[in-house]
Amino acid sequence: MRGLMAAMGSFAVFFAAHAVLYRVVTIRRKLLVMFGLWVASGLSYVAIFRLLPADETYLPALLAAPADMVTLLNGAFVYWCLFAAYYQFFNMADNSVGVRCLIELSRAPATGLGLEELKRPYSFETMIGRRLDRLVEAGYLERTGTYYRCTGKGRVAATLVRRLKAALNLGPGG
Amino acid sequence: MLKGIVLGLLAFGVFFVTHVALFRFRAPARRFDAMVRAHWLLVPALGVAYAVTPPDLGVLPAAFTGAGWVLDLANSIIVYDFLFIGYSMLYFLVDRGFSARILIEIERAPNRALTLEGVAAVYAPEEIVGRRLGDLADIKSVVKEGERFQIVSRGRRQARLFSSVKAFFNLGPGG
Repeated sequence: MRGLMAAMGSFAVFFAAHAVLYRVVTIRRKLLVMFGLWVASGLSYVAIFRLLPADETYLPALLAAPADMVTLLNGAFVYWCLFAAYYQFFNMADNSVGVRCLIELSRAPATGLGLEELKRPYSFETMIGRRLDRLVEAGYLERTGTYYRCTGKGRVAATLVRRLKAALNLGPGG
Repeated sequence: MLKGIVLGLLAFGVFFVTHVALFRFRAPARRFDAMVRAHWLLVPALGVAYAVTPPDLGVLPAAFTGAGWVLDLANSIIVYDFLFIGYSMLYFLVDRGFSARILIEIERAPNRALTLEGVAAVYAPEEIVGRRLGDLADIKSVVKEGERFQIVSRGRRQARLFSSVKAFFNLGPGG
């Protein structure tokens, strides 16, 4: 239990730091900064783990585990997983096309919107442009004039994703 | 503690093999639904496996078998669930990743280079948005009336949740 509690405690530390920072400062590389915060808050995992009492001193035997290396690593794994799950949710809130469509539809008249009408508040060109800019910034693409070309890193990512799509029969997707 | 972790990892291994076999040989129409169902079906199986196996699984060192069974089993399910969530992230990136598809289309282009308009020509934004709206209709967040999409109460709740997250974290309109 000690590892799980330390994982939840350190995730709370991460979340508080993330919430304060993102409300106070406008951040451009949002996911990268979040990852940095997660790594930094990892120190609190070790501190909380050390500060918590041993399970057997206050928990029934059914809920207790010895404070060994397995418990420490298991808690660290759960701390990573809590972050990964939250990261997925946050990324969806920030970038998902589906979420943006829902928000635009919630602001629309009761008769709803067709695809052409949806383009007015949600420019599809901007949607692609934003992705291209980000891929350049993250080093997956390079821009020459108006042309975009994959870098080595981008080529590896494209090949890997294409092969995984083929292995799982997913079609072009996207 | 180690028994639960090992069984959680094994359960995820079984899920992964089932998922790959299902996708390669059956190609389900509602893919993520099929994955979620396969995942949940294995949770009771994990419980049964925990109940019928010895604390050391016949191979684990005795020093790592001291955890209470309730904690160990709960931890096993947590490990299994989190592995599934983590894998779902990868799955969505591969299946629906917008940026990943852009990279693939640029790599496929004759000179391995495209302009923004070129990307939009081979990977039409209308197709992307249309597919997302279709997914939203599948999960009953919107309804399609002719060529128009209308939000329903479930979708409205989701829109409110994500709008408040965007506002709270200063994310801008995004998407």
